[in-house]
Amino acid sequence: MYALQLVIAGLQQGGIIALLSMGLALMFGVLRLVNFAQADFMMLGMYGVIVLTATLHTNFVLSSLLLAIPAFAAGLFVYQFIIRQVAKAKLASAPEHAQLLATLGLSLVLQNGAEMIWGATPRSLPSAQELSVWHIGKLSIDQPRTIGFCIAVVVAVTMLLVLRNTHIGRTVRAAASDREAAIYVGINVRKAYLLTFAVSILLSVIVGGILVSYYPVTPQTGSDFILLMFTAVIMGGLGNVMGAMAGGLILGLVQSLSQLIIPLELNNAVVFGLFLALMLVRPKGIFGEVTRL
Amino acid sequence: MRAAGSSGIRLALMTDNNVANVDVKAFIKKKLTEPVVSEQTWTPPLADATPVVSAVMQTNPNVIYLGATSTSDQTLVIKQLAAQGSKALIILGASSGANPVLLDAVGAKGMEGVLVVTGVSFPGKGPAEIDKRYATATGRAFMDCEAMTGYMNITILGQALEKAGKAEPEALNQALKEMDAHDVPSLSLLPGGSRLRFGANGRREGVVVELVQWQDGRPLVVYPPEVANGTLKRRA
Repeated sequence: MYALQLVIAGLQQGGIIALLSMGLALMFGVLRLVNFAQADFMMLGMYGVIVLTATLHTNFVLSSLLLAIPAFAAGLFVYQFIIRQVAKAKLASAPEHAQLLATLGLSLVLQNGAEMIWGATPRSLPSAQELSVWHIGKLSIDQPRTIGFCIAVVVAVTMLLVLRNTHIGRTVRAAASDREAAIYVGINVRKAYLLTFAVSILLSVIVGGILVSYYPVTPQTGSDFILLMFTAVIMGGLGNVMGAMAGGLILGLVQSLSQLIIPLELNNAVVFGLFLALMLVRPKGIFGEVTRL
Repeated sequence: MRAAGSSGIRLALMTDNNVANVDVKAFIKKKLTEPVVSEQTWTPPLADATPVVSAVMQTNPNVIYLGATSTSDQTLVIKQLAAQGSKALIILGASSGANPVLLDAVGAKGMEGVLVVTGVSFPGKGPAEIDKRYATATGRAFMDCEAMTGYMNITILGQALEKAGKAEPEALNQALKEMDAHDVPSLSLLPGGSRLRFGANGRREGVVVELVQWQDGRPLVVYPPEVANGTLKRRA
């Protein structure tokens, strides 16, 4: 029963890491961009949902959906006026390096900006005070986490379906697969990049909205997740969206179940030990680095 | 599952591996005559408290010492304990456990009966005036430990700098060692009197620890009796 409780907790946590990692993987797969500010957009989503629920008296699910449009717009803005400009300026021998540093700078701006606005004191949703649990036998299943996990699954599946079955999805996949070939056949690669970046930011903000239903937020909350996100993405195979999803779920399960055999304080050591072992055996991740999403 | 000792206390230790918590835990184990039924240590921050709480709940403790440094860990563990139906007395070994933010995150119901061990005075007899001024100025319910320690540290350092006459580390260190302060207003925030001096080992002399208990959404001092503004209640 105890092991089953740990499996449930691992899946719930893994679902959130998976959704976060999928945004990061999508961005890397299409734009070849490592975004250090990805988890900070999640943090902004958490604050955004707190502000919206306080002013509009909505629940966290509706607040997260309401944030989708401004999040998408923020993604368009950041790509258009920061990422693209940095790439165009050729500030480094490789444009990816300049973009990487730009996202690092953006992360610092977002964290410090949030601290100026909301302060360093942790904040929570008032609804997070309610101790909502399903009891099934001796199992305790946390309701907000389960709702969060379900939303994560729905969003992940929707994103995969859009990528595979729609014109926009095919455009994005073509841009990811071979940029030059896509341009030659008339695909608007710049639009695909813009869209990909905005959707990735949108995913992070939605995850933030889910997470704040049970996790207190501070301006540094993103730092608690960014390493796990990168680990999941690399485990799954750089740029592989499905791989990132699997990587996130595996991470959640390993973090949770590792305490069955080793002390809890070493659970991150198990995660990163597994990661290193995997890199030795399969340097390109479980699913391999792919050019197809 | 280990049996309780003669006192019936079934203590579980739940702490992060912050060095202060490691020391406190070692001290508790040294002093205890009863066996500890469960001991869980984690590296902060916790992303999810379910595994750690599930492990503790298996041993059915009736007292839980929670040594969590960060508010998010405190929140996740206390809520998860409540979610898994724990009726154990929770003793939080961090002053931040009596901050309003924890009440905001967990709620009055979840915090009811939780005891906090603290080295600064929470709304009690001593700092009532400062507390009132702080609440008026900030709009917060009461002065939290970060505000108190920030205020105290700056005034104490200010006085040490005045005495040293120069902003040099060694001179400041010496001034702090020789400090025997009586007339610093912020010292009223320290439990056990308004005198501050340090012993040869660098530790403060005459330290008094307060026990604060959350009751109906307010942190009430229940020990020591000289500054108490409430009485200890059993958890429902």
